[in-house]
Amino acid sequence: MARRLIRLLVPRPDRSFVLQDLDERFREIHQVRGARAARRWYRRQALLSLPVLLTSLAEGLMRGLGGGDLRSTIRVLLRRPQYSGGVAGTLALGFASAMVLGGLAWQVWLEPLPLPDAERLVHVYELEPGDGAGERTRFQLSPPMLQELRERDWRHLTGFAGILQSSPEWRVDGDVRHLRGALVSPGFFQVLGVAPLHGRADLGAGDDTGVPAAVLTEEFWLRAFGGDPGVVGSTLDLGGVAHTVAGVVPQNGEYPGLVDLFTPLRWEPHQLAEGFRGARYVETVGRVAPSSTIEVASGEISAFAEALGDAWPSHVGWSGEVVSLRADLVRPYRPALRLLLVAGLAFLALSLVNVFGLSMARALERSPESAVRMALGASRGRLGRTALLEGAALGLVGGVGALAAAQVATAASMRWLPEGMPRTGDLGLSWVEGAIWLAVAVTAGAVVVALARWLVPVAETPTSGTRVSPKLVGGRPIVIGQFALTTLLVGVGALAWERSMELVDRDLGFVADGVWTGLVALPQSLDGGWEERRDTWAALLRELEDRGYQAAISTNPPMSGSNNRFDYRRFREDEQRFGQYAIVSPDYFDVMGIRIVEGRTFHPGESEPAVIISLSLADEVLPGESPVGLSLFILQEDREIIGVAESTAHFGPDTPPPPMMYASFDAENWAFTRLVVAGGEGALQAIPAAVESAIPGARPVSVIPYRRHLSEWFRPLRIQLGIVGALALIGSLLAALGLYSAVAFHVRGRRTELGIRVALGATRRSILAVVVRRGLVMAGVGLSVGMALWWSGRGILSEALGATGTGLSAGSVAFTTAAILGLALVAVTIPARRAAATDPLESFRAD
Amino acid sequence: MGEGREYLGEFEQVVLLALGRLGDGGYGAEIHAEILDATGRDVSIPAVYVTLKRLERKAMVASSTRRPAGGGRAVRVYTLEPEGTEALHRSRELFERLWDSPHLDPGGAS
Repeated sequence: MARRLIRLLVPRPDRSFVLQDLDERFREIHQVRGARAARRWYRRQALLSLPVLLTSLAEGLMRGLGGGDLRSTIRVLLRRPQYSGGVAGTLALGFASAMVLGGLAWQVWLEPLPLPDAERLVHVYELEPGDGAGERTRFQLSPPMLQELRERDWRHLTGFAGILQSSPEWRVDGDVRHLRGALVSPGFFQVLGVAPLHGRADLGAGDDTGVPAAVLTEEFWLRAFGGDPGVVGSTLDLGGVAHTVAGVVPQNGEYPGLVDLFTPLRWEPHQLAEGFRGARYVETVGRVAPSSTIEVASGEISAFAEALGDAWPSHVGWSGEVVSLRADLVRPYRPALRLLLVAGLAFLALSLVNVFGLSMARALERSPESAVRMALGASRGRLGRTALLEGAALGLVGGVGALAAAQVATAASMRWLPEGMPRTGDLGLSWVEGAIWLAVAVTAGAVVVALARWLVPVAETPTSGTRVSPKLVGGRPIVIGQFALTTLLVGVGALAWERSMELVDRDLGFVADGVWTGLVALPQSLDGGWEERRDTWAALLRELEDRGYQAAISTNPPMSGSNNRFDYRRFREDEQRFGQYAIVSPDYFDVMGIRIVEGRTFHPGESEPAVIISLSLADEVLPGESPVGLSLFILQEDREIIGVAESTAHFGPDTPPPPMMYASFDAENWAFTRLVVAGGEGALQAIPAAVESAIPGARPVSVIPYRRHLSEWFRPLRIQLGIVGALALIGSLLAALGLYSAVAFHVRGRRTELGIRVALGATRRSILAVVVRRGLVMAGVGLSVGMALWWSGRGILSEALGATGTGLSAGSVAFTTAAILGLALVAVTIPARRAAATDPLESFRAD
Repeated sequence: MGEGREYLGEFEQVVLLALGRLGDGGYGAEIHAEILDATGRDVSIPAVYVTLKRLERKAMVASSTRRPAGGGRAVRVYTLEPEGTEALHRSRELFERLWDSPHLDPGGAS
C-alpha cells in the first residue's frame, strides 16, 4: 500500500529512482533490524512524503496551467475550509463512485477478453424445445454433438473445442498434489488464439508412443517448476497415467479461469453413441469466421441443430445458438453490473451538479471581492484564470481522494464479490487509468468552478453586493431529484431487506442444522459395476454407523448446487415432463429431516426399481390421487411409487420446489455421491477417517456443515443488500451536499432581504425557521416524489429483486421518512445558522 | 529575495549540505544516508527527490543518470553546482548576521 501510494504520487521521470532507492534502504534496514522494522520504516516514508508530494504535484500542475499564483490560490481555498472541503469531498465521492462502480462494470462486463480478436469467440448452446412463448433454456452440448460440430465444414465458424473441468492428481516424489485442471479438445488453443510460451500448445498428438499430452499454464510452470524450460518433453504422472508435457501457455485468469494444466478431452466409443445425445454437459467454445458475424453464425448453428431432429429422436424440437463468450461469461451478473454502471455515472453527474451549486454560492459571496480586484486592474480573464486554478486545485485534491477511496473500496469489494464471478481476478485501476481519472477530475473541477464563477455577475462597485440575484440553474429540481433518488434507493434497500428476512424464514422442506456433508468419489479401481459400487457405499455407511453417526448418501441433495434432470411421464404415451432425480440410501430422509407424508422409505437392500416422489411431483402429475401403489414411466421404465416425501427447496427458497424423484442406491448407483451425516463437530474428523477406512484409495473428502450450502445460496442476497446499502449511502451524501449548496446559495442571494427582516424585528429563531423550512420543503417534495416512484414502480422493483412484497410497510416508510428528513435537517443547519447570524448593518453597507 | 537572489529553505540547505559533504555527488539513497548519519534525521527519500528537482530548476544542482561499470541498477546522481555553493554561503551569512546579537547569547542580557 505504502509503495503503491508513493508510486502513484511521484512523477514518472523520478519514479523508478525513488522506488529503487527506497527498496535499497528497505533491504538494508531489513538485514540489520528485521522485516517489521523495515516495513514500519517504509510506511513512515510514505506518510512523511505525502504532503511534499501532493504540493509538488499541485505546483507542477499550476506551472502547466500557465503560471498562476499557487500560493494565493491555496491561501484563498484554505480561508474557506467548508467550501473547499465540500467541493473536494463531493468530487472525491462522485469520482470514487464512478471509478469503483463504473470500473467494476467495465472490467467485468464490457472490456474485451485478453485474447486475440476476442469479440469473435462464442459459446455454443443447444436450445430445448419451446412452445414459442418465452425464452428457451440453453443447454451445453453432448459429446456426439460436439464431435459432429468439430468434424463438419462451416461457412461462418472456423473452429470448435470442448472444455470440462477436472481435478487431476499429480503424483510427484511420493506425494499427491491436487491440481486445477481442464480437459480440452485438441485445437482448443488454436480456437482461443493462444500461442505457446514454450513447446507446443497441442494436445492432439502426445508423443510417438501414444502417451497423452499435457499443456501447463505459465503460473503453474513458474510455481511448480521454477520456470524451467527443460520441463517440456518430460513426463508427469497424473492419476497414475503418464502425460508428456507438450508446452507452456500464458494464463490470463479470465478465460478459461484459473487452471494449472490442460489435458486432452477424449471420448470412449459409447460416449459418442446415440444414448449420449441427451447428455448435454460439455462447455463448447467456437470462433466466428472473420468475414461473418455472431448473428449469422448463430443462424448456421441453429439450422444444423434443428436438422438433427430428423435423424435423432433426442434432438426433435431442439435448436441451437452461439452467443458472445465475453457477454455469456457474465450473463447472470449483467443486471447488477448495468445497475452499477448507471449508478456510478449518475453519482458522478450529481456530484458535478452539486459542485456547480456550491461554486455558485461561493461566487456570489465573493462578488464584492472580485469587484475590488477588477477596480485594481485585474481583467475578467485574470479572474477567470484564478477560478480555473482554484477549480483545478480542488479537482486535484478531490481526484487524489477519489483514487485513495477507490483503492480501499476495490480491495474491500474483492471480498464481497460472489465466489466464482468471472473476470474479477485483477480488479482495480492501472496507473494509466488512475492518471486519466485524475486528469478528468482536475479538468472537471476547473471547468465547473470557472463556469459557476462566470455565470455569477461581478458586483458593480466594490462595496455593493450583486444587484441581480442570479438563479441557481436548475437548483431546486436537481435537489428534489436527488432526494427522490435517495428515497427510492432507501426503499429498494428496505425491499431487499424484507425479502431476505422472508426467505430466511421460509420452510425449505429439510433441516440443515446438525448435518455435515462431503462429496465422495470412488477410485477407478472400485468402479467395476453397480454391485461393487453398492457394496462399497454400504460399507461406508456401516463404517459411519459403527462410529456412532447416522449417515446416508444422495447424488442430488437440495441447495447443494447439483442438478440432475430427468424426464418422466404419467404413462408411456403421456407428454414428457422434467424433474430432479436423486439416488439415495434409506436413511436419507431421516438424516435430512425430510418428512415421508405417505407410504414408506426404502428398505435396506431394496433393489426393485421403486421410487419415492415428492409432493410437488405428486401434485403435478397425480393431483387429488393417492400416488402410493401407482406407477410412473420414469427414465424409460415403469416404476412403482412406494412413498411420498415433503417437497424440498432444491434450488433455494425463491424457486418453487421442482418435481423430485428418489431411487434406492440398492437398485442403481453412481461412482460418486454426496454423504450426509447427522452429528456434532466430531463428524468433521470422523467422515474422512471412515471414508479412508471403508474405501481404500478414495480421495480425501472435504467436509462442510450443510448450513454452508444455505449461506452460499444467501450470499448473492447479502451482496445485493450491500450494493443497495452502499448506493443509498452515496446517494444520501450527495443529496445532503446538494441541499446544502442550494440553501447556502439561497441564503447568500437573500442577504439584503434577511438584513431588512432582522432590522424590522425578525428574531434569529424566526430567520432560522424560514431557512430550515425552505430546505425541509425541498427535501419533503423529493421524499414525496421518491415515495410516489417507489409506489408506482413497486411491481417492477419487486420482480427485479424476486420479492413477493413491496417493501412499503409502515415501518420502512417511517424509517425512510425519518432518515431523509433527518439528513435534510443536518444539511440545512449550517447555512441556516449563517442566515440567522446576518448582521443588518453589514448587509445594508454592502448595498 | 533581494537582488533577485533566492535564499534557501531549511530542508533545501540540509539537502545541499549533505550533497556537498558527499564530495563527488550522490544519488537519493546516499544523500538520505548522509543526512541520517550527520543529523540523526530520517527524512523522506521522495521529499529529497522533490527538493533536488526544485534545486535543479534553480541551477543549484545538476543531475545525470549513471549505470555502475560493474552492472547494477541505474541511479540519478546529483552534483552541487557553484550556484548552490554560493546560495549555501549566502544563507549562512544571513543567519550569522541574525545570530550576531547579545540578546541571543545564552548568558546575555534579555
